[in-house]
Amino acid sequence: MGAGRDSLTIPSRPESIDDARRWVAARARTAGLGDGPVGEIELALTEALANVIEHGYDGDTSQEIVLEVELAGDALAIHVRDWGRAVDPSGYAARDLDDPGEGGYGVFLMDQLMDGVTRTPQPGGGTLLTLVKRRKEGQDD
Amino acid sequence: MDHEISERAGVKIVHVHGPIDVSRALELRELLGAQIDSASARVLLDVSDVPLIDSSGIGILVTAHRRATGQGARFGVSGATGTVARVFEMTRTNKLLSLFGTVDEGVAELAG
Repeated sequence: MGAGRDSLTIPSRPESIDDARRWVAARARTAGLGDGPVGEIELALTEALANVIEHGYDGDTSQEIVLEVELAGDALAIHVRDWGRAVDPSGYAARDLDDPGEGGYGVFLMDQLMDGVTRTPQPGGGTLLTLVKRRKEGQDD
Repeated sequence: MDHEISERAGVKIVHVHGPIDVSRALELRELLGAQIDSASARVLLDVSDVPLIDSSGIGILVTAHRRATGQGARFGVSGATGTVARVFEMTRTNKLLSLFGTVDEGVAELAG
């Protein structure tokens, strides 16, 4: 894949996350990322989509999510566009890592796994979430 | 969820295949809940063929661990590598869960 964008539209169902992962992983590999970074992207994307489906769309499976992958220089950007309720991640209680529980790791994991995570409210509603992963020399395992 | 259950030295080994994410979390919860059914239960979840586990999956394992501990049973997880092993470290659930490198190690520990 050269510079430019490529897009995929999926229904807002948990079962669609697997398709989205495969689609993004293939493009990340084509962009030259190794197994380690690709695995991290797959996990961050999984958390992002789960949050959109569960919180942005409140579990409504009849909505759409549009993914775009963009390679610019050494950075791979994965854009996740939804038309759901804006969710402020700072509103989540931070996961207390000394007291493991059932949830609350999603936003934390995205931040840990990616080089950048941004959320931009969109005109007319919804959010554009962008996950950025940089290609690093020697980081391919 | 694609899986097999076998038994060795009184330890039930649940070998699951494929990613564990929010679309499969409920099924995993039921699968583990059905195995951790008494104080004498010894259950080892083998994730050597699991390439990815998300936060919902981590939550299920924490719950399974607490359920086992609460009723005097034992629960462990074997075979985590790559991103899966990293997630346990990042969330520090590696300090809570009983993690083993291989099924053999897990069986030896849980059966003892």
